[in-house]
Amino acid sequence: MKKIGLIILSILFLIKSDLIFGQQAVVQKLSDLNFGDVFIGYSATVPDTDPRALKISFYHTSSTREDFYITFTLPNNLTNGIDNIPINFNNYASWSRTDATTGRTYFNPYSPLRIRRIRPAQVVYLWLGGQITSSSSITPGQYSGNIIITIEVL
Amino acid sequence: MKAKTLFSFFFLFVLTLNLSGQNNEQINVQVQASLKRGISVISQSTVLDFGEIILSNSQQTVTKSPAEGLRFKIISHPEKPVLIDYNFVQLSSNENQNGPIFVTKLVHTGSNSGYVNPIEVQPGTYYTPPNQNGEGVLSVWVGGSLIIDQSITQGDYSGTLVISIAY
Repeated sequence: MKKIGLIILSILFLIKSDLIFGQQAVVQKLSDLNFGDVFIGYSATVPDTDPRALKISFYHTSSTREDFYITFTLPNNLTNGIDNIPINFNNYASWSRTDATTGRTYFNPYSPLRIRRIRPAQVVYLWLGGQITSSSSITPGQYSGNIIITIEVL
Repeated sequence: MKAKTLFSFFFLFVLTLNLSGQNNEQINVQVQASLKRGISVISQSTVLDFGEIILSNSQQTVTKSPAEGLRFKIISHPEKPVLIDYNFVQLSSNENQNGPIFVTKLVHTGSNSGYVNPIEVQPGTYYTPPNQNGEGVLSVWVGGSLIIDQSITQGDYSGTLVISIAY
Protein backbone atom coordinates (compact mmCIF):
# COMPACT_ATOMS: atom_id res chain seq x y z
CA MET A 1 0.00 0.00 0.00
CA LYS A 2 2.87 2.29 0.89
CA LYS A 3 4.51 1.43 -2.44
CA ILE A 4 1.43 2.44 -4.39
CA GLY A 5 1.34 5.72 -2.45
CA LEU A 6 4.96 6.32 -3.30
CA ILE A 7 4.36 5.66 -7.03
CA ILE A 8 1.38 8.02 -7.09
CA LEU A 9 3.38 10.68 -5.29
CA SER A 10 6.25 10.23 -7.76
CA ILE A 11 3.95 10.62 -10.77
CA LEU A 12 2.39 13.74 -9.25
CA PHE A 13 5.86 15.13 -8.57
CA LEU A 14 6.90 14.52 -12.19
CA ILE A 15 3.79 16.23 -13.54
CA LYS A 16 4.35 19.16 -11.19
CA SER A 17 8.03 19.43 -12.08
CA ASP A 18 7.15 19.40 -15.77
CA LEU A 19 4.82 22.34 -15.20
CA ILE A 20 7.59 24.17 -13.38
CA PHE A 21 10.57 23.35 -15.52
CA GLY A 22 9.28 22.11 -18.87
CA GLN A 23 8.22 25.49 -20.34
CA GLN A 24 10.12 25.26 -23.53
CA ALA A 25 10.49 28.14 -25.99
CA VAL A 26 10.39 27.06 -29.61
CA VAL A 27 12.11 29.63 -31.84
CA GLN A 28 12.30 29.76 -35.62
CA LYS A 29 14.40 32.14 -37.70
CA LEU A 30 12.40 33.29 -40.72
CA SER A 31 14.91 35.74 -42.23
CA ASP A 32 18.24 37.44 -41.58
CA LEU A 33 18.70 41.20 -41.73
CA ASN A 34 20.03 42.07 -45.17
CA PHE A 35 20.74 45.62 -46.34
CA GLY A 36 21.54 44.45 -49.88
CA ASP A 37 23.63 46.76 -52.05
CA VAL A 38 24.67 50.00 -50.32
CA PHE A 39 26.70 52.67 -52.06
CA ILE A 40 29.86 53.73 -50.27
CA GLY A 41 29.47 57.14 -48.61
CA TYR A 42 25.72 56.77 -48.15
CA SER A 43 23.50 55.52 -45.34
CA ALA A 44 20.92 52.76 -45.69
CA THR A 45 17.89 51.97 -43.57
CA VAL A 46 15.88 48.78 -43.36
CA PRO A 47 12.69 49.46 -41.35
CA ASP A 48 11.18 46.60 -39.35
CA THR A 49 8.31 46.47 -41.85
CA ASP A 50 10.72 45.86 -44.74
CA PRO A 51 10.92 42.26 -46.09
CA ARG A 52 14.72 42.54 -45.71
CA ALA A 53 14.37 42.94 -41.92
CA LEU A 54 15.26 40.19 -39.46
CA LYS A 55 12.22 38.09 -38.63
CA ILE A 56 11.77 35.34 -36.07
CA SER A 57 8.76 33.58 -34.58
CA PHE A 58 8.45 31.78 -31.28
CA TYR A 59 5.98 30.18 -28.89
CA HIS A 60 6.07 28.24 -25.63
CA THR A 61 5.00 24.69 -24.87
CA SER A 62 3.59 25.39 -21.43
CA SER A 63 -0.06 24.63 -20.78
CA THR A 64 -0.62 27.98 -19.04
CA ARG A 65 -0.05 31.63 -19.98
CA GLU A 66 3.63 32.56 -19.69
CA ASP A 67 5.91 35.57 -19.99
CA PHE A 68 8.78 35.78 -22.48
CA TYR A 69 12.00 37.52 -21.47
CA ILE A 70 14.03 38.42 -24.55
CA THR A 71 17.55 39.81 -24.64
CA PHE A 72 19.59 40.88 -27.65
CA THR A 73 23.34 40.83 -28.21
CA LEU A 74 23.76 43.40 -30.95
CA PRO A 75 26.87 44.36 -32.92
CA ASN A 76 27.99 47.99 -32.91
CA ASN A 77 29.58 47.60 -36.34
CA LEU A 78 29.47 45.46 -39.44
CA THR A 79 32.86 44.46 -40.76
CA ASN A 80 34.44 43.07 -43.90
CA GLY A 81 37.62 42.17 -42.01
CA ILE A 82 39.32 45.44 -43.02
CA ASP A 83 36.89 48.25 -42.30
CA ASN A 84 33.89 48.75 -40.02
CA ILE A 85 30.59 50.50 -40.54
CA PRO A 86 28.46 51.49 -37.54
CA ILE A 87 24.99 50.02 -37.22
CA ASN A 88 22.04 51.19 -35.13
CA PHE A 89 18.94 49.12 -34.31
CA ASN A 90 16.94 51.52 -32.15
CA ASN A 91 13.51 52.53 -33.54
CA TYR A 92 13.53 49.53 -35.88
CA ALA A 93 12.45 46.73 -33.49
CA SER A 94 8.90 45.48 -33.08
CA TRP A 95 6.86 42.42 -32.10
CA SER A 96 3.31 41.27 -32.66
CA ARG A 97 0.99 38.32 -32.07
CA THR A 98 0.11 38.41 -35.76
CA ASP A 99 2.28 38.32 -38.86
CA ALA A 100 1.29 41.77 -40.14
CA THR A 101 2.91 45.14 -40.73
CA THR A 102 0.24 46.92 -38.67
CA GLY A 103 -0.54 46.71 -34.97
CA ARG A 104 3.04 46.06 -33.92
CA THR A 105 4.53 47.00 -30.56
CA TYR A 106 7.84 48.83 -30.80
CA PHE A 107 10.61 48.38 -28.25
CA ASN A 108 14.24 49.28 -27.62
CA PRO A 109 16.36 46.22 -28.53
CA TYR A 110 19.29 47.51 -26.45
CA SER A 111 17.25 46.70 -23.32
CA PRO A 112 15.62 43.36 -22.39
CA LEU A 113 12.08 42.92 -23.64
CA ARG A 114 9.37 41.27 -21.53
CA ILE A 115 6.24 40.05 -23.31
CA ARG A 116 3.60 39.16 -20.75
CA ARG A 117 0.93 36.50 -20.51
CA ILE A 118 1.26 34.74 -23.82
CA ARG A 119 -1.21 31.90 -24.05
CA PRO A 120 -0.18 28.33 -24.96
CA ALA A 121 0.91 27.78 -28.59
CA GLN A 122 0.39 31.48 -29.42
CA VAL A 123 3.00 32.36 -32.04
CA VAL A 124 4.77 35.66 -31.45
CA TYR A 125 6.59 37.41 -34.30
CA LEU A 126 9.56 39.71 -33.83
CA TRP A 127 11.21 41.98 -36.41
CA LEU A 128 14.46 43.89 -36.33
CA GLY A 129 15.64 46.42 -38.90
CA GLY A 130 18.51 48.85 -38.67
CA GLN A 131 20.46 51.71 -40.12
CA ILE A 132 24.05 51.78 -41.36
CA THR A 133 26.15 54.74 -42.39
CA SER A 134 29.26 54.27 -44.49
CA SER A 135 32.07 56.78 -44.86
CA SER A 136 33.48 57.44 -48.32
CA SER A 137 36.91 56.04 -47.40
CA ILE A 138 35.93 52.44 -46.68
CA THR A 139 36.70 49.48 -48.91
CA PRO A 140 33.91 47.86 -50.91
CA GLY A 141 32.80 44.32 -50.16
CA GLN A 142 30.56 42.14 -48.04
CA TYR A 143 30.08 43.48 -44.52
CA SER A 144 28.50 41.30 -41.85
CA GLY A 145 27.71 41.06 -38.17
CA ASN A 146 26.10 38.61 -35.77
CA ILE A 147 23.03 39.04 -33.58
CA ILE A 148 22.26 36.69 -30.71
CA ILE A 149 18.67 36.62 -29.45
CA THR A 150 17.97 34.80 -26.19
CA ILE A 151 14.36 33.93 -25.45
CA GLU A 152 13.44 32.76 -22.00
CA VAL A 153 10.08 31.51 -20.77
CA LEU A 154 9.46 32.77 -17.23
CA MET B 1 11.40 3.36 4.44
CA LYS B 2 11.48 7.06 5.19
CA ALA B 3 15.04 7.32 3.99
CA LYS B 4 14.12 5.47 0.79
CA THR B 5 11.24 7.85 0.13
CA LEU B 6 13.42 10.87 0.67
CA PHE B 7 16.07 9.41 -1.60
CA SER B 8 13.45 8.76 -4.33
CA PHE B 9 12.20 12.34 -4.18
CA PHE B 10 15.76 13.68 -4.19
CA PHE B 11 16.55 11.50 -7.24
CA LEU B 12 13.46 12.78 -9.09
CA PHE B 13 14.35 16.36 -8.18
CA VAL B 14 17.85 15.92 -9.67
CA LEU B 15 16.27 14.49 -12.83
CA THR B 16 13.94 17.45 -13.20
CA LEU B 17 16.85 19.89 -12.88
CA ASN B 18 17.88 18.87 -16.40
CA LEU B 19 14.47 19.95 -17.68
CA SER B 20 14.93 23.45 -16.33
CA GLY B 21 17.59 24.17 -19.00
CA GLN B 22 14.99 23.91 -21.78
CA ASN B 23 13.16 27.19 -21.09
CA ASN B 24 15.97 29.25 -22.59
CA GLU B 25 16.43 29.31 -26.36
CA GLN B 26 19.17 31.16 -28.22
CA ILE B 27 19.22 32.00 -31.89
CA ASN B 28 21.98 33.42 -34.07
CA VAL B 29 21.07 35.79 -36.87
CA GLN B 30 23.26 37.36 -39.55
CA VAL B 31 23.30 41.01 -40.60
CA GLN B 32 24.71 41.62 -44.05
CA ALA B 33 25.38 44.57 -46.33
CA SER B 34 27.17 44.65 -49.65
CA LEU B 35 29.03 47.94 -49.96
CA LYS B 36 29.39 49.09 -53.57
CA ARG B 37 31.26 51.93 -55.18
CA GLY B 38 29.07 54.54 -56.77
CA ILE B 39 29.60 55.55 -60.40
CA SER B 40 31.86 58.46 -61.23
CA VAL B 41 32.80 59.77 -64.65
CA ILE B 42 36.04 61.50 -65.49
CA SER B 43 35.91 63.45 -68.76
CA GLN B 44 39.13 63.78 -70.70
CA SER B 45 37.54 66.18 -73.23
CA THR B 46 34.09 67.72 -73.45
CA VAL B 47 33.77 69.18 -76.95
CA LEU B 48 33.54 67.24 -80.20
CA ASP B 49 34.41 69.83 -82.82
CA PHE B 50 33.98 69.05 -86.51
CA GLY B 51 35.58 72.36 -87.48
CA GLU B 52 34.69 74.09 -90.74
CA ILE B 53 32.60 72.17 -93.24
CA ILE B 54 32.04 73.45 -96.78
CA LEU B 55 28.37 73.08 -97.75
CA SER B 56 27.54 71.45 -101.06
CA ASN B 57 24.43 71.07 -103.21
CA SER B 58 23.83 67.50 -102.04
CA GLN B 59 23.51 65.77 -98.66
CA GLN B 60 26.86 65.03 -97.13
CA THR B 61 28.12 63.03 -94.15
CA VAL B 62 31.14 64.02 -92.13
CA THR B 63 32.49 61.34 -89.81
CA LYS B 64 34.79 61.49 -86.85
CA SER B 65 36.07 58.21 -85.52
CA PRO B 66 35.78 57.61 -81.73
CA ALA B 67 39.59 57.52 -81.59
CA GLU B 68 39.68 61.22 -82.54
CA GLY B 69 36.55 62.19 -80.62
CA LEU B 70 35.61 62.58 -76.96
CA ARG B 71 36.91 60.33 -74.27
CA PHE B 72 35.77 59.69 -70.72
CA LYS B 73 36.39 57.11 -68.08
CA ILE B 74 33.71 55.37 -66.00
CA ILE B 75 34.82 54.33 -62.51
CA SER B 76 32.44 52.04 -60.70
CA HIS B 77 32.17 48.94 -58.55
CA PRO B 78 34.36 46.22 -60.08
CA GLU B 79 32.54 43.68 -62.22
CA LYS B 80 29.13 45.30 -61.57
CA PRO B 81 27.42 45.96 -64.92
CA VAL B 82 26.59 49.56 -65.80
CA LEU B 83 23.87 50.65 -68.19
CA ILE B 84 25.01 53.06 -70.89
CA ASP B 85 22.40 54.96 -72.86
CA TYR B 86 22.57 57.74 -75.43
CA ASN B 87 20.75 59.08 -78.46
CA PHE B 88 21.30 61.04 -81.64
CA VAL B 89 21.43 64.83 -81.45
CA GLN B 90 19.94 67.46 -83.73
CA LEU B 91 22.24 70.45 -83.88
CA SER B 92 20.87 73.96 -84.04
CA SER B 93 22.06 77.52 -84.55
CA ASN B 94 20.59 80.86 -83.56
CA GLU B 95 18.89 81.11 -86.96
CA ASN B 96 18.06 77.46 -87.62
CA GLN B 97 16.62 74.97 -85.12
CA ASN B 98 16.74 72.09 -87.59
CA GLY B 99 20.44 71.77 -88.21
CA PRO B 100 22.56 68.71 -89.04
CA ILE B 101 21.88 65.44 -87.25
CA PHE B 102 24.69 63.93 -85.23
CA VAL B 103 24.58 60.12 -85.19
CA THR B 104 26.55 59.02 -82.16
CA LYS B 105 29.01 56.16 -82.16
CA LEU B 106 30.35 54.97 -78.81
CA VAL B 107 33.02 52.39 -78.23
CA HIS B 108 34.79 51.17 -75.11
CA THR B 109 38.25 49.77 -74.65
CA GLY B 110 37.67 48.12 -71.25
CA SER B 111 40.13 49.33 -68.65
CA ASN B 112 42.70 50.10 -71.36
CA SER B 113 43.31 53.84 -71.61
CA GLY B 114 44.68 53.45 -75.14
CA TYR B 115 42.52 52.93 -78.22
CA VAL B 116 43.04 49.16 -78.31
CA ASN B 117 40.46 46.57 -79.41
CA PRO B 118 37.46 48.94 -79.33
CA ILE B 119 34.03 47.37 -78.75
CA GLU B 120 30.96 49.22 -80.00
CA VAL B 121 28.58 50.36 -77.25
CA GLN B 122 24.91 49.89 -78.12
CA PRO B 123 22.48 52.32 -76.46
CA GLY B 124 20.49 50.89 -73.54
CA THR B 125 22.91 48.03 -72.96
CA TYR B 126 24.79 46.83 -69.87
CA TYR B 127 28.60 46.62 -69.88
CA THR B 128 30.84 45.28 -67.13
CA PRO B 129 33.79 47.51 -66.18
CA PRO B 130 36.81 45.25 -65.60
CA ASN B 131 38.49 45.23 -62.19
CA GLN B 132 41.56 47.44 -62.06
CA ASN B 133 43.11 47.65 -58.57
CA GLY B 134 39.74 47.20 -56.86
CA GLU B 135 37.84 49.62 -59.11
CA GLY B 136 35.72 48.98 -62.16
CA VAL B 137 37.21 51.01 -65.00
CA LEU B 138 35.74 51.46 -68.46
CA SER B 139 37.24 53.82 -71.03
CA VAL B 140 34.61 55.15 -73.42
CA TRP B 141 35.28 56.95 -76.69
CA VAL B 142 32.72 59.04 -78.54
CA GLY B 143 32.69 59.70 -82.25
CA GLY B 144 29.96 59.84 -84.85
CA SER B 145 28.69 61.19 -88.11
CA LEU B 146 27.20 64.54 -88.94
CA ILE B 147 24.49 64.25 -91.58
CA ILE B 148 24.16 67.61 -93.32
CA ASP B 149 21.15 68.04 -95.56
CA GLN B 150 21.54 70.16 -98.69
CA SER B 151 18.86 72.57 -97.39
CA ILE B 152 20.83 73.53 -94.30
CA THR B 153 22.07 77.10 -94.31
CA GLN B 154 25.47 78.25 -93.23
CA GLY B 155 26.15 79.06 -89.56
CA ASP B 156 27.61 77.83 -86.28
CA TYR B 157 25.70 74.74 -85.16
CA SER B 158 25.91 73.01 -81.78
CA GLY B 159 24.03 70.45 -79.69
CA THR B 160 24.29 68.57 -76.44
CA LEU B 161 24.88 64.87 -76.34
CA VAL B 162 23.57 63.26 -73.15
CA ILE B 163 25.11 59.95 -72.17
CA SER B 164 23.46 58.27 -69.19
CA ILE B 165 25.33 55.78 -67.03
CA ALA B 166 23.58 53.88 -64.26
CA TYR B 167 23.66 50.55 -62.42
